[in-house]
Amino acid sequence: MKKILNRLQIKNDLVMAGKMYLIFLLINYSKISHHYFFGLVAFIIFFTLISKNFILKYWFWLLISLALVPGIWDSFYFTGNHIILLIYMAILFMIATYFSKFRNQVALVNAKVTLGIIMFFAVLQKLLSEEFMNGSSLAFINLKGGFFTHFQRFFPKNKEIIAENLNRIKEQASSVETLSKSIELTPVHWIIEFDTSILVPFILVAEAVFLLLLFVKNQYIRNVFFSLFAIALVFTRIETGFASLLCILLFLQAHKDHLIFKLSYIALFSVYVSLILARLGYH
Amino acid sequence: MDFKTKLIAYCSLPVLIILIATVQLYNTETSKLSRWKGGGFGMYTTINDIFHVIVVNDEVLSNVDDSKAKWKFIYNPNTKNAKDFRKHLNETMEVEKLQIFKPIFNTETNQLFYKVRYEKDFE
Repeated sequence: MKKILNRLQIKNDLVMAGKMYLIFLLINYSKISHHYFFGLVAFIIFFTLISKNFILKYWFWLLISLALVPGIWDSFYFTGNHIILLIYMAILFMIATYFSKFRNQVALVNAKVTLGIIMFFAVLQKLLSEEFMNGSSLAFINLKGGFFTHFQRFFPKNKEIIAENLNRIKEQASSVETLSKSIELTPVHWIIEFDTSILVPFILVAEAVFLLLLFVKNQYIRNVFFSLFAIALVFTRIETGFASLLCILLFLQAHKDHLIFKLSYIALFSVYVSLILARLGYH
Repeated sequence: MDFKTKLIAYCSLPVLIILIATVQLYNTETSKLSRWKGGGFGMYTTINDIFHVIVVNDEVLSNVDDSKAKWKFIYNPNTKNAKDFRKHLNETMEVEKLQIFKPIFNTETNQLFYKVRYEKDFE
């Protein structure tokens, strides 16, 4: 194992993270592109093809940020949070490469703080949401098949219940008359029968632990938990888009940690991006 | 690195993210902006707004419409977005009233019902 690890090398963490980011951006850019900026995009692509060290040039990231702004501005209130995270990360790369002497340290700190802010607001939003705290939003997601999507094929009975629930929801939403009536949906259970509201404190604790672990120096506890968190995100809800970006930030925060953890984030990122490309994931 | 440089290197991005997330949180608490959108990281805290139903002149609007104006109206219903969406719909129909119905799920009885989330009368 040691021999294999010794053969693998990541020369520069920031360059590796930049490559991962650009792969994700290529998949997503068409969703948020703005036609006025096609010239700038053409220039960026041309430059990446002819330049060796483009990833370490701050103005390259400035151009990337500029190419993202109009599309995100235009769709700010209906685009996903991971798209907004895309621009934050372009700014992160820009700042890190601008301070070239300290680039890895600047990237590490900014990645950690960004992860911390995301988790802090995720917990805060959940605590403020009545629908989340009483378990109804999670129960609804489960009843309509929002959880364990790729594993439903192994639970044919659940698949049937979900299809039936979706039909009832569709029928209820078909006219104003039916909207005013209540319908009953059939609960969906995965292996163990339990109330989805039990998941509420579990999710809150998991996110709070994530936040606290950012301050923990023990790389093993920290990175094992973060890896499991990134896996759970996709295992339960196919959030491949958000999880891919999370893996890049997790990779950057592991700058001073063991190579095996960095490789695990790269592996997870590769799997998630492949799921997106194979249309088995969302982006 | 001196203090000013450190401030730019380590604080500029966090300040931007916190600022946007705080504004989003304020808007969700004081207006009808969805928790899912706007950079506040509130995904999965409510039933996704794609399950909200738009009613035009007391008739349910079909899901065929995938316009920007529709999604802006669903995720951030306010007078401006309602007017923009009406303008978009006026190409095919005369709009007098716009409503958004929100699904409410009762976990004890497993009952799903809808209540009005937003209403705009143009008469």
